[in-house]
Amino acid sequence: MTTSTAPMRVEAQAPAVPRRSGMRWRPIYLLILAWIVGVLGPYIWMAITSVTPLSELHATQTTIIPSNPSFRAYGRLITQTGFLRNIANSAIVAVTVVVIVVFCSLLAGTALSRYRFRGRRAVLYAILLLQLFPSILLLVPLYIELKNLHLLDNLVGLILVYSAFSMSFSTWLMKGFVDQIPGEIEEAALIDGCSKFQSFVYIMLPLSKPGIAAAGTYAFIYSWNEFIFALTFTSSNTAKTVPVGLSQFIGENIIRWDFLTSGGVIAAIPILIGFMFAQRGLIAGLASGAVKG
Amino acid sequence: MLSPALVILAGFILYPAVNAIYVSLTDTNLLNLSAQQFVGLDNFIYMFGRQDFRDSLRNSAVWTFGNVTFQLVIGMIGALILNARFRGRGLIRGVVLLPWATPSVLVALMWLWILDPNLGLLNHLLRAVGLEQGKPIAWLADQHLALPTLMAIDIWQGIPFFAVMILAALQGVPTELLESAKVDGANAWQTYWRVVLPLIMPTVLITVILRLIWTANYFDLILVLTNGGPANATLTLPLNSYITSYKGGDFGGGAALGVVQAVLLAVLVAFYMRQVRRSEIA
Amino acid sequence: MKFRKGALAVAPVLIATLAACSGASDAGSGSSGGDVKGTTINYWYWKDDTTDQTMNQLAAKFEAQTGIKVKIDDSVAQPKFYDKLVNAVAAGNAPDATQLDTNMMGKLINSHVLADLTSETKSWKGYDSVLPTMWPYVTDSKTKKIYAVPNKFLMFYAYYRKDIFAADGVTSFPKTQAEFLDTLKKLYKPKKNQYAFDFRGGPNGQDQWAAFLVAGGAKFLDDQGNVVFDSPEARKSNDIYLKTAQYAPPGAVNDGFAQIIANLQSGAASVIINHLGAAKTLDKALGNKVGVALIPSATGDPAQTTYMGTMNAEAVLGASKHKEAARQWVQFLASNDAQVAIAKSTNGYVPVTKEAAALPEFTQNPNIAISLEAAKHSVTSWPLLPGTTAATTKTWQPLFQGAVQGKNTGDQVITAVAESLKTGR
Repeated sequence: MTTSTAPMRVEAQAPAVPRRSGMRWRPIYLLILAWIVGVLGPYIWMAITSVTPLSELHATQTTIIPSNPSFRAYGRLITQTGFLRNIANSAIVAVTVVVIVVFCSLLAGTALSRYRFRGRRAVLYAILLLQLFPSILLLVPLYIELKNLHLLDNLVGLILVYSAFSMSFSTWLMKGFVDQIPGEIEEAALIDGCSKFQSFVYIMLPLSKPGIAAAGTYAFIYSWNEFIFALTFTSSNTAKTVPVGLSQFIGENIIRWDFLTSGGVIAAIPILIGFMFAQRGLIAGLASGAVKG
Repeated sequence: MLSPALVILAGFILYPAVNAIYVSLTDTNLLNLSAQQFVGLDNFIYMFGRQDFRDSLRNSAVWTFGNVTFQLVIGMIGALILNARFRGRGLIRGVVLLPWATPSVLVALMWLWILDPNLGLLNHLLRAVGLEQGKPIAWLADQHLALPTLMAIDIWQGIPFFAVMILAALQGVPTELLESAKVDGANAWQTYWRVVLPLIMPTVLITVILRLIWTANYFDLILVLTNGGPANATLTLPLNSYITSYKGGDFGGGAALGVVQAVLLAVLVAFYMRQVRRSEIA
Repeated sequence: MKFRKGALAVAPVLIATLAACSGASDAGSGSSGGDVKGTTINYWYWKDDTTDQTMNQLAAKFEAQTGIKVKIDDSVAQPKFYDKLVNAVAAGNAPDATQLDTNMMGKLINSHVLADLTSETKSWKGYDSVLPTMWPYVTDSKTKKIYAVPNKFLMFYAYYRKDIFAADGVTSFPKTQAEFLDTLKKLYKPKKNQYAFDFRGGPNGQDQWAAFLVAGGAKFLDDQGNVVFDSPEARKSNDIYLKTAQYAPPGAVNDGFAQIIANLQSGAASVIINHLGAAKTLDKALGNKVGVALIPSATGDPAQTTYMGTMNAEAVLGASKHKEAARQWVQFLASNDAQVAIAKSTNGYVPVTKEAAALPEFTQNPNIAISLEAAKHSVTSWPLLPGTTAATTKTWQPLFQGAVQGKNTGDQVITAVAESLKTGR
């Protein structure tokens, strides 16, 4: 990837979405429809099951649409289980991890992209190599470490572990995005009298917005979904996260479909809303026009 | 600027990783660590001689490369779709991420019942349109279908990841490069192949290499849906490592399997690094 | 490069930490024996239904009686429970008392994780009120030491669809294993989407398999505690079990608990083997269409047959600092009142005390009655050997599935399971 051949993108005051030749609306809508059906199919089944009364769930004949839809499962989920707390815990953990990871990986990515120092490559490789081990092998040493730090059954412990495990990819990702930003833009800003800090805040940040959105989304979803660490390192409902909460609905001899499906639906709602806002970050940073400064 | 990231990484990954390597050289029983003894390469020799090691090695290769290839190709098409302008794009961009953001426990259970041979929705549909006659298809219990079925589920879940990463990279492609390509008479395919792809390549490469590593290490889905069966047809290396460690109680042997996998992946990363150096990404 | 050197320097420290953290030792039983009032103990168990509050209520009652506070962790369901316990023991963070099942106990005893409760149990006033057949489930067959208190007892038996049996002209449930195979042939109607026996080839199906083989004359141990599973009786019964696969519902080779229940409900399966854990679900769904019967045996005579059960027992950990308080809690759980409460909880269990087991509300329940009838004669469970965990959760599944699919022979399953029981690998 050569930055020198890339034209100065300060000139590019293009519309937010590059219009691609050959992409007319008709085939696209068909593809989108197919995609949406493929994605939503299983969730629709889940949502239907969640409003199916228990009596019909036990029925021998599998009907697809319940004859008496009822939202009782949601009421039971809220009153009889601590699942809402699990959602809150997951949200706290995931959002904090996003902040830590975006901050650290933006700094690290910028350093690894912009500065040439001894051991730079070694650091880059080492960051990658750290991802090689299956997490199951790291479980007990991490357990002991968290115990010694008094971070067991504690959201802080999960936040630190998740930050570490989502750092590698985010750092590489940020480095790639900073690589794409021509150094000339920063130099120009420095000549115009910006301090290094100002050029970082006013130039680098807006320009790496898609990278931040991508890294943030990744860190969020990793933390939201992670199961084995959360299961092992938490024991009370004050620290349990969504996947652990869901797993509790599967007993040795009872599977609480009502809780699993209603919990799955409830847990999907904040995610869906969050993404609809977050995806705005995936629109080119250039469009913000902040580059002019 | 580097230090915050490095401190977190060293503290919570490097330290346990070094420990895992040590454990692979011992006869560790986690329940009785004081009896731990150094056994050299015995665990590796024992594992290499086993049929289930060879099975899991083969399954891991198919699982890892198959999943990532399909996720990459479909995810790239998805990114191009999401990058186009259409009505309700914000909503669609949120919706298609759902599979990626759903905990594995739930994904596994959803598919377990959709794929159930006797009661599942999929076989009902196939029957309704006349595609399935005779005995119902046992998607997860057939020795030839089980691994492809699991892979399809993982691909389904992994497509949005690639779509988002590539979508983000596409934002960095300067518009006037596309316009000038158009002026020069390039068609959409040529523009994509010659202009867009080289520019998003760094992001694609790092996404692919890390996805390969994660996919290789990911076994939650397999554990819930088939537990490696039928008859080890879906046993992968990390699942074998887990079963050997926690079910067999042989933590040294399990760690040895994990180390073998890490070494194989390291070779993959090294190969990737050579490519990276050649294209001056790092 | 500095980075890497630093990494290596960390290693010895780490290893030292690990060594120091070995939580397992039964040296120096820390119980002071005296005042346990105001102590807080950590107790783990896995629960079936997340809304079931029985154990929390019992803990409150226990605290009111003794002043000992029980902090309950019920967050991990069965398949991961053992993993979490192992991790906690390794990290020196194990609870004071825990629930265990017979598949897990041998390894824990052998690794010196559990406290020896022999003398405290035999001198306990409740010892004689527990059914005498329950004690072998918690006693090491070689050393005769007691490592846990019986708590939740389950016996394996057959559930079958009376309506399907009747429709196909089968008037009574088969008594011998040979008759069983013949009956399955009659029930097999693939065109109607009706199959015979769902044998559960997936996770934890080894319990159903072993229960069938035990009724067929297989033995885990001889009187001296040596593994004798590799017997002609076991092989013969195993062959019959494998032959049932040809009449099984599609996918049975991968089925777990949820699938066999769903298949029996829908009629895709006509017979399954399970314990009491399935009773309430099936009764609710099928009412009087479901019947229960003893597992067909080699001879067909229950008096000459051994039946298999499983026990969720309560143990005290050797590393506990509150052994005395923990021991009182696990004994409290085996008291008559606690047993009645547990037996009546969401799923129900078979009570382990004589008095509770004789209550009409239990003896008149057909599911508990059949459990008690099976337990009346000779009973066994997976033995408390260090190799049992490996045999049940690692060795059995791939080889059994391989035998069903013709990749290996049935005898290889028997040989490998016997070998795992002996060696632990």
